[in-house]
Amino acid sequence: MTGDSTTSYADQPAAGIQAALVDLREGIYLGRGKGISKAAWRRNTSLRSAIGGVPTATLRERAHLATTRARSARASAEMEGAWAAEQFRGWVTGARANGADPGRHGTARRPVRGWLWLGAGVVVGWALGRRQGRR
Amino acid sequence: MPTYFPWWVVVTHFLNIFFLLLLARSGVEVLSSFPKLYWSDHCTPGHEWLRLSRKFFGAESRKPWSSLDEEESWSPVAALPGRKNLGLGRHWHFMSVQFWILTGLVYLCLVFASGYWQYLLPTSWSIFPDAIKAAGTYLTFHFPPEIPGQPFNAVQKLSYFAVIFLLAPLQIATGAAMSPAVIARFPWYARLFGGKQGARSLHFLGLCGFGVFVVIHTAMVIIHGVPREFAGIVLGSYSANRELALALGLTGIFLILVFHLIITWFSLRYRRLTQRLLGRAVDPFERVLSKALASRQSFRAADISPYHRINGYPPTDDGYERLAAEDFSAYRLLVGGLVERPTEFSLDDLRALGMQSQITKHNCIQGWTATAQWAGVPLATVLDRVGPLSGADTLVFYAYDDKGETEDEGRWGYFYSTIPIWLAHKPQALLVVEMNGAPLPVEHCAPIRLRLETQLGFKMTKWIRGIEVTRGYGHIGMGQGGWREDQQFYANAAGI
Repeated sequence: MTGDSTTSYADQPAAGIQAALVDLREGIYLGRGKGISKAAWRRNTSLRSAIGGVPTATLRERAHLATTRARSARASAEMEGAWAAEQFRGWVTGARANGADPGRHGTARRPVRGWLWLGAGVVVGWALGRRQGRR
Repeated sequence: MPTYFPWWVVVTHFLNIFFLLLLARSGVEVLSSFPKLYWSDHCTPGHEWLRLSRKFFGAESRKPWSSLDEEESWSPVAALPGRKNLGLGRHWHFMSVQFWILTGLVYLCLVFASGYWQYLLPTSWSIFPDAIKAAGTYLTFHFPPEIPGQPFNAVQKLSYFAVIFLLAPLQIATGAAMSPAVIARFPWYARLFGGKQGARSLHFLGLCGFGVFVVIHTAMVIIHGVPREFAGIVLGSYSANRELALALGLTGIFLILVFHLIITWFSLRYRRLTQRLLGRAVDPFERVLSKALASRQSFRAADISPYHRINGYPPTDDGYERLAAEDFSAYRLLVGGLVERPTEFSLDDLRALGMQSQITKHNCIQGWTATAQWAGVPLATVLDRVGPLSGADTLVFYAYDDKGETEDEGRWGYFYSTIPIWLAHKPQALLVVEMNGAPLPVEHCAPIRLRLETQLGFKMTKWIRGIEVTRGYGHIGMGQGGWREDQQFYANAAGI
């Protein structure tokens, strides 16, 4: 499954479609999103070679990082922006109208510690009771 | 009659401790990705019977939320490896379960071949009143009498029987009932447990059952005397050297704990290597399962979930927003690569190829499920139209969503996924354009998403931009077969 593959379709028909797909493939890790780590990128030689060699990657990486940093500060705010929020508001409201209650979330139940104490108490109590019985 | 503690009981008992601890901790990791339990496969938020999360997602919240927000990061003390590593937790779980089942099968063969079963299988109904009496004797701070000629008293015999012959098979059976490939091919099997969520809940209760058993079992060892019990289970006889047995037993427990420390650290430090090493034990089994089984789901309209969770935030780039604003009239699906006829399809073009509709259950890797009606064009029809060249064996799906913007958590890049080409020819493999009788909404991945009904949801690429037919996937992205495989160390095998 991980064998050789054709990475260029210059000899194929519909070159525009093929070129667009190659761009998509090579652009997977050149997205504009935040979270990219320059150090991680440099360490990951397989990734760099996968997108067509180090020199190209480095150039594109620089351009990418410059725009990414400016955008990343705004990214969270954008997620709360009108477009995405409208999409989800409609979804949540629609779900509630259908009988779901996405707003009801309780607090965590963490009974484990209580059970441990109870178990320890039973063992200690048993041992003490047995000692008492011997007397 | 065999001795009370033959060598193979000693060995399998130790292996059982070893694998059960691996299973329990990796199971906790899997649970942390969706720490809610339901009895209904609709998984309607707020209707869970157990929540292990303090997170709040409300309709009035300014922030939209998706199922990924429900994931918890649990401590590596409890979870293997902990810290939101679902992919690696699943690897450890599926690797361990194979060896645990193997250990159990060897044990059972020897139990029945040697006659040891007479110590474990109740042969008279009197075991029940005897067990109640024995438990009562413990409560009065005395030891109950052992059954003549047998190593265990009645309550011990009954509880070992329950754990070996009821609880362990139940865990295996409910585990299998959570595999999307299995329940897509045999929907009746999941129904035996009340659906996948019933199986998931019973699986969790089974874990609790094992936990209760281990606590009581350990307490009994302490009460009966650790040196005596260790002499039996470590050296095979109550009359063996107790100091030596104690030293060996404690060393064994210490080594298991050290092993867990090492693998937890290793899994967190070398995540890619862990993914690859464990994948060798897990992936071949999954591929056989996925190749052999085809989806035969056919739910009724009444089974459609009133609420279908969303997994992931929609794309945020300008191009996608423009397409969405125009109801995707300008959208074109690119299909090319190693094909005879690279083609662009509009949504109308796709519809003209012939629509297929199906009501199926979605299985998210996190654990939630929901049922919906999906309509679209069979993937095989699209492939027939473009004509894959000989030697092509992989489909790559490219998506619009830049995960660095929509998911973050230190990860980045546009989503993509690969599948073997034979999966595209499975029944119910669709490029979906409609959900529940309406065009796909943006939050459910308009204009096109993939449906592969024997696979987990993360393989069903959403917001699809283009499809490339290739040979292999090693040259795509980081070479692991998909964005989640690259960045979250999931297995590129999603039938279990």
